Amino acid sequence: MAVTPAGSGDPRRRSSKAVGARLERPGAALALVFVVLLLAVIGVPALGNALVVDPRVTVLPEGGKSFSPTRDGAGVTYRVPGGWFFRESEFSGERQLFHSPEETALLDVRFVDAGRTAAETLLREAGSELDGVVLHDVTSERSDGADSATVVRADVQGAAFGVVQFDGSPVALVVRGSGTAAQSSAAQSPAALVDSLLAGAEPAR
Amino acid sequence: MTAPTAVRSWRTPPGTRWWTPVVRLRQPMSWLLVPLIVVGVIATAVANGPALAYSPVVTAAAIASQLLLAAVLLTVLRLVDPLGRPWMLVAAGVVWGGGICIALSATLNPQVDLLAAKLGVDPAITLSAPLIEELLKMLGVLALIGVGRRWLRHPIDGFVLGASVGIGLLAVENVTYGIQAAIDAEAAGVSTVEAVGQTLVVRSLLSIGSHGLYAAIIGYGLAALILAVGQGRVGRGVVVFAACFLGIGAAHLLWDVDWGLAQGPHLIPPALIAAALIAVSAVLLRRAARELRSGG
Repeated sequence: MAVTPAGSGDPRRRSSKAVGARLERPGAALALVFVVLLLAVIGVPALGNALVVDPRVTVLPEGGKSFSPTRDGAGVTYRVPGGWFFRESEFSGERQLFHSPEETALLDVRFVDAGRTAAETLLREAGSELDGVVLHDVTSERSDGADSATVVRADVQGAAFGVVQFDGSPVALVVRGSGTAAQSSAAQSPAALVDSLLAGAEPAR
Repeated sequence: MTAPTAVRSWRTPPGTRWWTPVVRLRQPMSWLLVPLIVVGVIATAVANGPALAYSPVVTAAAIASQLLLAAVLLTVLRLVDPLGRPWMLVAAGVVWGGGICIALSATLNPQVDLLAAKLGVDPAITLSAPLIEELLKMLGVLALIGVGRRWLRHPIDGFVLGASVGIGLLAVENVTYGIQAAIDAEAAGVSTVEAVGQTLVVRSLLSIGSHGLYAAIIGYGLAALILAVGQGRVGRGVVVFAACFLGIGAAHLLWDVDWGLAQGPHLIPPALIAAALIAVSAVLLRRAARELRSGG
């Protein structure tokens, strides 16, 4: 490609003075192109995310987010209670990792095959992290066709594990909460958070 | 004023202030570029503040190593630059890459990853970096061409400006990776010195053929497109630009595959990508030098 000043066309047809004058003029058109492209680079991903709803995610008008697994058409809807804003920082397969901005609390939520009971599912899925914990240590609760189980492991800085599964559903929801929420209080401890998350789970409709 | 001739210098033109190649009140692009550069530097510093404060020794070592790397790469760039340009344009490119590119990609990359996941893209394929980072670097080149249009004489000008943007990005990115390696090493209970050293050395060596040349080759395509539009040869410009952007997008995509850079043999694929980009760059520079000699 021949050496030529920008926008000068065939340099042989223009005097160098004219070319120089043109190049010294403000480049408003290029600035406009720049602005449009910059806005597109910033806006298109955000707009895309706003328009494209994950098949497993339903944003509820109140109470934050919920999602349900589609595996075999069965599962649960999971609802994060209000007051927390969770950003999806990892999104793959049937596992979702949430954390709230400016806070150190971390929620790891995933769907697994349901066991006979929530407690059994919990011990199976928490596996090595709950090494030494036995069924007896797990707090179980049954209500409205749902079976839930929770356990807190004290030596992992209060990490809490919870499982909820619904009668007749082959899928269980496993939640692991750890870290510290903003304005840390007992009500916002990982254990309390996991409890509230499990309480917010309800059968898919 | 006539278009500048090939001076092969990065000096400020005689009779002008050092900042005028970038800061000109009558130039609309200056009003966009300068504030964005300032905001980018502040945003990057604030966002990485906690990490930078994690360990002053690690931070100092990472910054020093990357300043050295950037100095070496800019010296090489200066030596191979066949046309020359005011140093302020190159410096603005470096700061654009290390500032606004880092700040915006940190925000936008997760958005693209999430969108890709929603659309069913395989999680092993990372689309965000090839798209967002390359577009942001390209926008830096566009802005630099906008403020210094008289310094756009040949597509190789876009190559040099792009390389400067890429060098800024890779240096800051390597600093953040080095600090993160220290944090991870401490959490895992392994040697921090070894982890940081390995990260910085491997990334510095491989980065010679990564961000700098990615942005350089896309910058070449962009400059070719702008020049071609000015000459009424839009089709040719679009083809050159598309080839550059898609080729680099593919290279970046391959680079981001999880090769496991901590293991020696796994360094081969990214090293091959880097070698290929160096070869392409050498061809572009040689061709430009030949055209400049024959074109006067």
